[in-house]
Amino acid sequence: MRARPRTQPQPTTLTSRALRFFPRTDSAVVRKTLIGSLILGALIIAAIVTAVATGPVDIPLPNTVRAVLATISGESATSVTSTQQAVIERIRLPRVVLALGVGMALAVAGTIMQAIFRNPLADPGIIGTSAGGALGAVIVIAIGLSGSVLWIPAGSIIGSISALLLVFAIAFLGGRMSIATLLLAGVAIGSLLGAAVSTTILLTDNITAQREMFFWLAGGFEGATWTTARIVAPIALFGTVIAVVASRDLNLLLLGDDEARSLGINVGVFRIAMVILAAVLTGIAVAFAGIISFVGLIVPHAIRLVTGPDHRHVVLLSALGGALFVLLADTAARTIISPAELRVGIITAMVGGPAFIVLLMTTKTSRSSL
Amino acid sequence: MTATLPRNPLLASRLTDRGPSSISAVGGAAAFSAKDLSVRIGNSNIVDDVSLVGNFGELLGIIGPNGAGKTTLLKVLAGLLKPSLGCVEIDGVDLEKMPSSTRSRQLAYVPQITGAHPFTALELVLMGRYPHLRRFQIESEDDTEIAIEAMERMDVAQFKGRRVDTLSGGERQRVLLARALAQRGDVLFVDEPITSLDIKHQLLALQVLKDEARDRSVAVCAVLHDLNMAARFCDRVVLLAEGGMIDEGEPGCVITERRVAEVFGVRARVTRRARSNGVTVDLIEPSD
Repeated sequence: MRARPRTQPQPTTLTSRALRFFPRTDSAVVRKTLIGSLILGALIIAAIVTAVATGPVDIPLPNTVRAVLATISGESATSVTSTQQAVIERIRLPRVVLALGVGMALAVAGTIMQAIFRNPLADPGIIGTSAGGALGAVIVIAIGLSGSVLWIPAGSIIGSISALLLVFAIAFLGGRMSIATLLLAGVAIGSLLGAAVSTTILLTDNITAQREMFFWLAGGFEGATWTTARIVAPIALFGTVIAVVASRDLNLLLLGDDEARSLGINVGVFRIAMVILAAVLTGIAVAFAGIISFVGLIVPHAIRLVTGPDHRHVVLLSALGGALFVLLADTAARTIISPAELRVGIITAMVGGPAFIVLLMTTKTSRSSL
Repeated sequence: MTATLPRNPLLASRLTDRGPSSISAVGGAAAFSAKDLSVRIGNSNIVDDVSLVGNFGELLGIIGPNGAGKTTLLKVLAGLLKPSLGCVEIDGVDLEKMPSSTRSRQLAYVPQITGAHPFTALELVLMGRYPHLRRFQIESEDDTEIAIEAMERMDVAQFKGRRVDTLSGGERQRVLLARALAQRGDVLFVDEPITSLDIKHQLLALQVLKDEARDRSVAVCAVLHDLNMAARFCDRVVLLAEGGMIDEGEPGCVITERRVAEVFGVRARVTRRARSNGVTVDLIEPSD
């Protein structure tokens, strides 16, 4: 009688097999969040230990763990030399924390942007924030401001904010913010600022400054200190919490304005708030780590491919996935050609792209497209 | 994470107050009422000075040719669009002063078509339960039951695991109707609910909407193109043309040969059917 079968055979996937070992909860959202964060959390801990243990100064694994725990608790660890303790406490740990924070910020910003624009190609930089940040940083280097590690981030943040205000001004021209205008204005301003970045680099005579600009643009964490880590990590965490709180509304936003409105959200206000949140997360990540491409675009898609599109688990798992991905990329960047360093932005693009293609091809039903 | 289903106090009280047998709320508060509504876009009045009332327990049809302002009127009534002039009251409360969360518990709206998104049919129908959940509350088994029941009524329960964007247009339309049922509002606005449905599901969907009005005392307001369906199922119809309201009343009084010729530009034979107190419309040809 019916043209279609009543039930679809459920494919046995790794997730569905893993789910059987778990106590039954009636909600797939809760289950996916729990299992996903357990798996990603364990991987992040393993990645942290690996990242802290590896580097030019070799530190045995037990000492690494002891030193990390000692840093956290503020006591001194036995059987860890003071050099080892210093390397871990002052160099490697802040770098790890910064990488985690930046990855988290970028992935959450990407998830939000993809939902707001209902566009799978949206990434954190889509409304020109990161181009603005890049221009700010490059100008600071060109002027030669030095003396504080915070000069470049400060310039970058000013650049991001200016770009955001400019894009908002254009999008609000008609009185009400149009999402299409916001997107187009963002892309246009982004390419304009990109051109300004290139011009600034070309007009810089100082070769060292030019190198520094290229270096900064490729993204990296070599300048990480506790000062920068302590700025980025709380903002990334805070932004993630807000996005998780808003995750159900992000689901509704995907349906379209009228449906979202009729299901109870104030679309205009909510969307502006979310754009600002994503821009802040992007701006802060760019300011302290340069341009790290691909994380914000790929991580949410990868999570959606595995768990399905519900933002109530996608946002949190993307945050964890982004943190993990960037930390692994940074560890790879500083060990592959050690003692020299590759740039993190290069690694994320080189590894992330192919890895994502493999994931796309092995996942039978594409749940990713927005 | 299990939680009890929040009851809608408004609905519960109304059901006990009046019961399902009271069809029209004449004398009591109207389910929704619009006063002197105008929507002006550019230089043209899309909706021009329309006033109308919808009652609990009643299926109200909005008919009219393309561009008559039916969809715009429906969006204004559902609070999705601000009128340039006039105001809408829902159960006696000014719609503009109603917080969007309250509105979403009382009003359900079904658009002509849903956008492309990756949710499954069940996930989409469950979103109809979001307005009833607190911020961190996850849908309970009761919510899922309500969703599945709504899907069964619209004959889409078999698609629950399917992604909505793999369904046909008509199937998608039925899923959206199911979501509106699951939302359990007091007032239901549906925009061309049967346009892409096959004949069986056209009958089924309108019957479900009519039952929803009768059994739960919901006010249902539907934009319809098929005059025969409108005549057969609606308790009252509103005829719009060029943004203005031409007539309003029982289908048999509004849908006449003269009106069909004047407003739609179609020569038709309208036959009264004594038994169901309705009319049938045989379309003959465009009249001019």
